Amino acid sequence: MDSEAQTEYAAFEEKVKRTVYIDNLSPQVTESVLRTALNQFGSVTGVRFIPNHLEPGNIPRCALVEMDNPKQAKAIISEMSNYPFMMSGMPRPARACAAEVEMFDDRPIKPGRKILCRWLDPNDPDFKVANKLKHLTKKHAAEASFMLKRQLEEEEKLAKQQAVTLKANYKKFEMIESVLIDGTARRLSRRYEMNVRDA
Amino acid sequence: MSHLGDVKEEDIPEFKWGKKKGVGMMNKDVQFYESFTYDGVEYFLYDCVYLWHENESEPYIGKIVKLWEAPNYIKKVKLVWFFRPIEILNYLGDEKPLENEIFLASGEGIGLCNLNPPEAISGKCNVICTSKDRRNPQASEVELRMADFIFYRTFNVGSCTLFDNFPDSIAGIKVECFFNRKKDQEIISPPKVKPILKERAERSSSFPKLVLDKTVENAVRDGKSVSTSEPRKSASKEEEASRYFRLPACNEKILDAKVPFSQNRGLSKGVNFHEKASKISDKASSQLAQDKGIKPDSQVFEVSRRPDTDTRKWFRQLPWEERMQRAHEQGTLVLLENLDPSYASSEVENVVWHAFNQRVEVKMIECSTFSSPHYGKAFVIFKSKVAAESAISELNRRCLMLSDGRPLIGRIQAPRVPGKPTNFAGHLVIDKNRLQRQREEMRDAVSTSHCSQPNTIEFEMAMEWRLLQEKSDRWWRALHEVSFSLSY
Repeated sequence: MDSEAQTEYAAFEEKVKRTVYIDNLSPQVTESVLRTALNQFGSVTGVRFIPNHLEPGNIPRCALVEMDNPKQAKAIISEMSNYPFMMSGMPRPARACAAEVEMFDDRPIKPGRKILCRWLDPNDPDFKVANKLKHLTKKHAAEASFMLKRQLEEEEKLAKQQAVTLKANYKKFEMIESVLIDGTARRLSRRYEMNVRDA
Repeated sequence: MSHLGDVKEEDIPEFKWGKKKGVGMMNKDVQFYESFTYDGVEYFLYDCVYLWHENESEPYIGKIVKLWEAPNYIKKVKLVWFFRPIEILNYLGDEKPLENEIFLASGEGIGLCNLNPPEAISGKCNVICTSKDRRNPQASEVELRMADFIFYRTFNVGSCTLFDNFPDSIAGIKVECFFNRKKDQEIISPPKVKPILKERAERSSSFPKLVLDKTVENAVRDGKSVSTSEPRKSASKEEEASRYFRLPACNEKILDAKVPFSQNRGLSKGVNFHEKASKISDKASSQLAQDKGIKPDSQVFEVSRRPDTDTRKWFRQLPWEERMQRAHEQGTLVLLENLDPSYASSEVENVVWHAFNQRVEVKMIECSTFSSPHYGKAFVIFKSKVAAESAISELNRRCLMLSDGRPLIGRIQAPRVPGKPTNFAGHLVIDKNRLQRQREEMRDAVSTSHCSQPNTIEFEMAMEWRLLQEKSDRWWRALHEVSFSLSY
């Protein structure tokens, strides 16, 4: 029984090593998109999107992608951190990092761990401390959700700013193009006696 | 289902076949029977019986539809199952089953019937059909009062739906056999069987019926009102309470184990008296030590494996997301916070089992980008709303300290309704007419995943995103670090 649990856990740890955690995914990314994208680096054996049950709906999605072997997983991580990797859109890159045990909902019991529990009554000397810890936990959760909100705002801001830049850039290119197309550029070059090669 | 636990007793109980019924149509060596005697109790065809699974706290209920012995002396009994409401909770929808209602399996599919060795049967169960069906001989009030369970609906295992009417045959057996027995068949009707049963019960104290029969009858004799017009539709809470009071008088040992049960599980709907009582006696011995630990003397207790890990495996389950949504609608979903993030779901199940005596389903929430690395969270589906609420109030009133000094927090939290996330900042599309012009090209460009090359606008912008990602990573790290150093 014990050794069985241990081998199960060892197998699970192997799986964790083979797996890549990918976040900053757009909701348009489906399993097949992920598969095709990462098959460029090796062979994908499994994809699982981590469901988001607690956070607001507008956070980017994340997924666990199991590869054939740990080497491929490492290759993906280094490749995606060296070059920004676009999936189903640009310019926000997806991000990869090594998967961790806690990211799997079906993780087996870690062998050899004992859990001890204890009920504390209100008259227990430790009760106050425990209550404080409870409050602290709640406070931290509140802080985290505030932080998340701020981060989403920041992202929104950056996206807007980039949209403006992109529009400006696009307008510039369009102008150049139209100037070349309707012959204005040629006329101007003749007027200023400059040599412009045909675009 | 293959290893249904048989009755545990010191000496091997005696088994004897009863009246022969005939030989097999195909194979003349197969001998069919009408009855058999096992451990002093005679079981007949179409009797309803309890079957105990070794690790299960609630016995299964089935109806014997066939008895035979193969030439190699292998004895078999074919059972058509009854479902308890709790077993098909996810398919009940808004239906509120009666307190002691069960559902007869019908249709085609897994869960309809099974073959078992007759030794797996652990006792008779008095089930009365209250269907208004013409073919069903109506039961008398006395019979109804004596009934352990009643049924008037079938659960189709193929379509997983409830039906009020009965098909002509179930598992190849005429439906008449599933209804109450006709009066001229009275020879083998439940009241006559009772004495045998009791005798047996007195002999083996491990048999849960001992307590049941006596208390039920006491309650009835004391003139406690049992509603008569409808088949025990509303056995009032008073009545239930009176039974509870009676229970300890019968057996001292049970008293001890009962306390946490009546508090937490007490009047939970859908779990009826017999289940509770049998559960109590079943667990009384094994759980005694742990139950003591739960009592408010703040003793440390170790969380070991729950004695009953799995319910029926062969029963198809809905996906977790759906079950969770339903549980939330029914008020049985609880979010546990401040767990060690590395706990496995089953470990949390064990914790809940030891702390609240509740068999629950747990799913740890996966860590992702935005979850704190220090606080594990888990969704728990309790069996009833009462149980869920009592667990939460207990966690609020007292503190359940886990081994690493974490007090557990429980609260109701709605899971986010699954669906496409609404918007995603950071993916930009260039103007529409351009798109129209180069539609094919653009579509391809968008759907292909690629690394962006340096010296393009895309790359520049991606770098800005990278910067933001890195920044926000640092924010989070700083936040978690701060919170960690605060809490320790």
